[in-house]
Amino acid sequence: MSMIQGNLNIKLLSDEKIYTIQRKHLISIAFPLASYALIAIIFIVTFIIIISRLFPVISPLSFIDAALLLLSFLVVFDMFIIMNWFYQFYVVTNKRILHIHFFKTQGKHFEEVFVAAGTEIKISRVASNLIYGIFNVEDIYIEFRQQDREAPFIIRAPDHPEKLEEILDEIATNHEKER
Amino acid sequence: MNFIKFIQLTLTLIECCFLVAYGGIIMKVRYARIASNITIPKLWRSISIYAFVFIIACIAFLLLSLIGFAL
Repeated sequence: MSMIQGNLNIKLLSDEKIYTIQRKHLISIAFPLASYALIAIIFIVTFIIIISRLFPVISPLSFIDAALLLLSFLVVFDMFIIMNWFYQFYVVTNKRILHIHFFKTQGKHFEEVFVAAGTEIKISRVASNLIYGIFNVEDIYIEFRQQDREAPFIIRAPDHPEKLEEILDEIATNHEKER
Repeated sequence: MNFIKFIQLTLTLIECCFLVAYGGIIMKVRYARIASNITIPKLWRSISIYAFVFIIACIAFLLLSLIGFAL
């Protein structure tokens, strides 16, 4: 992760120090990629079966056309998923937690939450499904005991959840000491 | 046969839409690269070029088969 830390262009506050920068775990894109591939295969097979029954004299070129079309569909959407993953980061500093999308067509591009001194936080790690649980890929829920932010900040399937938890614990402990 | 031509033409149009989507992705990648200061690995760049060639080839193939049906 140090490679990302050296290159990533983030405006820091004064006296702000980056603890960790993480992408989502690779498995979080493996599922959508696999499902797109599966859907494409099912479509191709269905298309071949249905069209060959309906139009027995049709040229085989049509099947190749349809297969190429679905494959190009797959290529474009897979590229979108990969780029979305590649340019998406969770950044934890001593003052705030950020979620940055550099590649996004809609939705939030940037979300940050300040972990000011005196803020009590509750951290929980949750595996969202059985497969994530097997691979130790967990979401991190950070709940704030304050009025202005009731909803938890969720770090979805980070690369190293245990490292993030350690850092967040450290931040919480430091803030306790400061109080 | 007209029905087949119609399907061919529809497929070509959809393929053109994918090309536009691909162009959109490339533009977004460019902005993301400038904003984040992170470059895409060489392998992915070559995959991206491959994808472009692939989509162009698809369109060419569809047009050729369309002409084949027309003749």
